[in-house]
Amino acid sequence: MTGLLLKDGYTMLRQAKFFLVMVVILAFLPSDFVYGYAIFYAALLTTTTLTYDQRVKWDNLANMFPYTAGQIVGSKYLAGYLYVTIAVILSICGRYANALLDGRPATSMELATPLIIGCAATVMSAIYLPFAFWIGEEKGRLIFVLFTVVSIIGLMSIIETDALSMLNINLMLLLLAALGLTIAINFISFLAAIFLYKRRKV
Amino acid sequence: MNNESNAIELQHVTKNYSTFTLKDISLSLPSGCIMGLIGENGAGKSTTIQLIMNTLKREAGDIFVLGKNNQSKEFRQVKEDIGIVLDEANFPEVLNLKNVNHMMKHTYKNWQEDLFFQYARQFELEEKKLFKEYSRGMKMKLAIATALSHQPKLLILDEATSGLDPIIRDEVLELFNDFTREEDHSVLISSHIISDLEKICDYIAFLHQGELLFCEEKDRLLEEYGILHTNDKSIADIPAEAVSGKREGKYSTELLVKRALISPAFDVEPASIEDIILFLVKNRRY
Repeated sequence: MTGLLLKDGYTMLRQAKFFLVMVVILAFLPSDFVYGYAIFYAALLTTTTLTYDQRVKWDNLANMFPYTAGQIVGSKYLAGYLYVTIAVILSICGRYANALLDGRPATSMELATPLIIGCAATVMSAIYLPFAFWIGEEKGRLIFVLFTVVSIIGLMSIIETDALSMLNINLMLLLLAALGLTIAINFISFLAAIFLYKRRKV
Repeated sequence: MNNESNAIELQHVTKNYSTFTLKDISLSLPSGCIMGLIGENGAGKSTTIQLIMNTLKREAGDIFVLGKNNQSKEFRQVKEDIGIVLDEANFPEVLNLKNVNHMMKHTYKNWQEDLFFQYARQFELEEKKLFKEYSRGMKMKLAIATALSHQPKLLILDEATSGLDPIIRDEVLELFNDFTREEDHSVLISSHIISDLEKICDYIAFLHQGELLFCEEKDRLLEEYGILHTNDKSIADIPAEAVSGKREGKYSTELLVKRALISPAFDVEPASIEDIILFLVKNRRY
């Protein structure tokens, strides 16, 4: 799988520098919600590498190499986690930096929110990837964009209205629940993606 | 059961599409040999290669590659020993030679970096040039360099020489020929350029509209068939079972004949593989 991750890494560094820069900028903007876009944007980067792959019919060649379907599919998941993790770390740094500039310490909610959004972003990616592997990157992306827009609006609305604190939810519990749910959904998604990817063999 | 001395063995393989069927294909590539897979566009050559590599599911039959069933779990290990060149599939355009080397080092256990760059120099491929700036011929050369650089035992090449200039084509064909000097090294090459296949192949397999019309030793084919120029009067003297193809010209008729069934009194000229194929296809159409 290292070879596949290297391929995507080189593709991203060379072709998607603009996107990477956008993620950094969005993460550090002094805004209460824009960093959410940075994290979802990072999750979208997987669609970029899938597009470049499909353009050259890379899949046809990759299946001739000694990779398993699990490795071909898994490399996209791993790459997605990496991009989202980087965006989450940058966003946390961004929140911290903005709080310092405001002359106050960052609140635990400010620092935890990127983590929760990161979980949501990987869930969105987990919904998208099986479709992308099954019906193609373009159609899968339409579904992803739809879910992403709805999710960002919904999630940020909840956070902005402080609805969660009204429910008196313990932040640590919330984080653990988000993480648990994310892991479960990604695991199911990964298995589904492998199944659908193998079924693409006509 | 498969014969383990064969590098590739297809037994009654069938693949159905809505508008095309690859019908009951059985062929064997003995170890240490080169087989040319010839056919017109849409004959099923690429489909056959994809079936061999198990990237397409077959409806019937068995396929063995280097002694293993290609649907078994061991086939993944077998892929380490197969060098592959495809016609239209390639590395992402934004990679360069160095990136591919780095990738392949982490893909194949027996990747030979020095050999890869040696081929790159031989094919005059620039290390830092991105693939989107490569011509079709350069992309093919890169694919060939990649296929040869991990100690493969079997090369499967789908139109590997198309897009190459004649000088490089000759060099590449020589490389494939040298490759089979080891008795456990074999090559399956599909091509439209029949003259290339005639130069290096030991076996010729001819696919036409999804059917395998023949899979024979090249030398046997060249010995078996010949071309007879004749006129309407002499045709009656030629046994019907000896005639495998016919081409009528304005003043005479050309017949593809089986030498063994023709009287030595007739002046039968040698037939090339291209002649044989063209005659057989035309005969089927009419």
